[in-house]
Amino acid sequence: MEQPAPIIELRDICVRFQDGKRTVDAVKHVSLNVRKGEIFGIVGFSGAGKSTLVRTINLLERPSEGRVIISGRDVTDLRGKQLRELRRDIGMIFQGFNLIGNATVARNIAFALKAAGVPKQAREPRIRELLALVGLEDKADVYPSQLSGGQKQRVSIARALANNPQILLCDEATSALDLETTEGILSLLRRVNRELGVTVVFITHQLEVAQRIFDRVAVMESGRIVEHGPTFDVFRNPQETVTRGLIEQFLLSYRNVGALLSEETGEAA
Amino acid sequence: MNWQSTLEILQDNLGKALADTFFMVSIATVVGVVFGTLLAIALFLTQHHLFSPNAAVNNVVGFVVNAIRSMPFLILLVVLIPLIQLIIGDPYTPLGGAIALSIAAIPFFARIAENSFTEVDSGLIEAAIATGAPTRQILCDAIFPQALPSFIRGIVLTVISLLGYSAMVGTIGAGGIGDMAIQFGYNRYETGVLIAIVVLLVVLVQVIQWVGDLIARAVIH
Repeated sequence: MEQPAPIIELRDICVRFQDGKRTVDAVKHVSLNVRKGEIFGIVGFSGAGKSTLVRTINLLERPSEGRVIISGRDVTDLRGKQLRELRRDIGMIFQGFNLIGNATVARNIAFALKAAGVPKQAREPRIRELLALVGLEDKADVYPSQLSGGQKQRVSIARALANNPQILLCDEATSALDLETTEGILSLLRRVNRELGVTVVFITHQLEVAQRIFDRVAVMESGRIVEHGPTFDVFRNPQETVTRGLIEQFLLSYRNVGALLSEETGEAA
Repeated sequence: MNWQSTLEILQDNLGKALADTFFMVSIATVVGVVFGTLLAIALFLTQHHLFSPNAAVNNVVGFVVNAIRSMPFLILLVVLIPLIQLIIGDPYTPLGGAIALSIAAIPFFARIAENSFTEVDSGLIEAAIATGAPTRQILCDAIFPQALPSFIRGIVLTVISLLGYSAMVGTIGAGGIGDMAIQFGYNRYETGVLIAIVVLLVVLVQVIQWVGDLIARAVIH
């Protein structure tokens, strides 16, 4: 079987922070390839370095060592205009949605279009198109405070996809949402991946997300990737203690849900 | 207390005094907000890790701002007199007062505006940067709208402080209602004038605060 070429290649990435006199190694010698068109997940407990690692892809975090290669081009040292052009090709969504609260939904999306130099009169039809894609046609003139969490995340997905990026980065994008809403966001992301061919890199500590949509997964602990592979294989046959820990946590939460459910049916009976 | 003379003094002088105060405070507010905001942008961008952190520039600007702010206004005023004399000739005029107030207003508002910018959630800034937007767009279309309510409250605070400072400008004879209160109320024992001006100041401050809060609330969504 022919392997598709990697769209994202991280080579031996290290990220170090200076915290007072202490040096913190947030990411230690991580190398990974993300294939074009896949949904690639990075899981790990909080503090494992996932957020820092994913931020090196659009250089919100500049690696202290190593190279970032996007579609075969080394982008590690890009600055100014070229860096901004690269970022237009990489959408990003966040746990906290990060919308401009004092701007309407339409203006939030227009922000990304303006960043790409889309002329004013071309913005409105594109905004309508994007809102239709995420299922919020009637919310263009609404302020974010009037939306639910799931709707806010849909707006931020529309903003992230405004300029037809090849890559979408998701930083704990469903961690602030309840199960049902998470489900809706995940199927939207899967549609974006299948229908628009956007490569998705998704970091999370929620295994239910991983198991639902990741094609391949990497497990991170203390700044390193400790195991990776096709999602099913990694979770069926976990090699590392962290992976087992994550699975246990996941099963425990499901057992609790199960217990709650049986309690309810017991009461009903 | 002689009501007749109190009324006469108020009739003859209050209009001009109010106009002078209005002139000084509004010039100083505009100058303070414009240049203070520019300084605040410089402080904010050189301090924020997602923009252009530059400790040297940040420290120099910060030092100048702090240096002016550390001087009690009356002392700043005395220090500025020769400079104002050089620029406009007679410092003991409303224009002289306006210049002194403006110089005090710039660093005052700079810190207030910097604070409004710093309060903006850094996640929002990250998201804006991730769209590939240039810094100017991020400032104008993301940070500024988000900071606007607190920015407006900062302007109100500045106007009210300047109103207070303008009374001190009055003590060196630059005009305004502070000047009037000193000249008539204090030097000529016209207690009625003094009381009238105090009441007027209280009402003015209340109205400014009320209007400012109204505007600030109207721009929050």
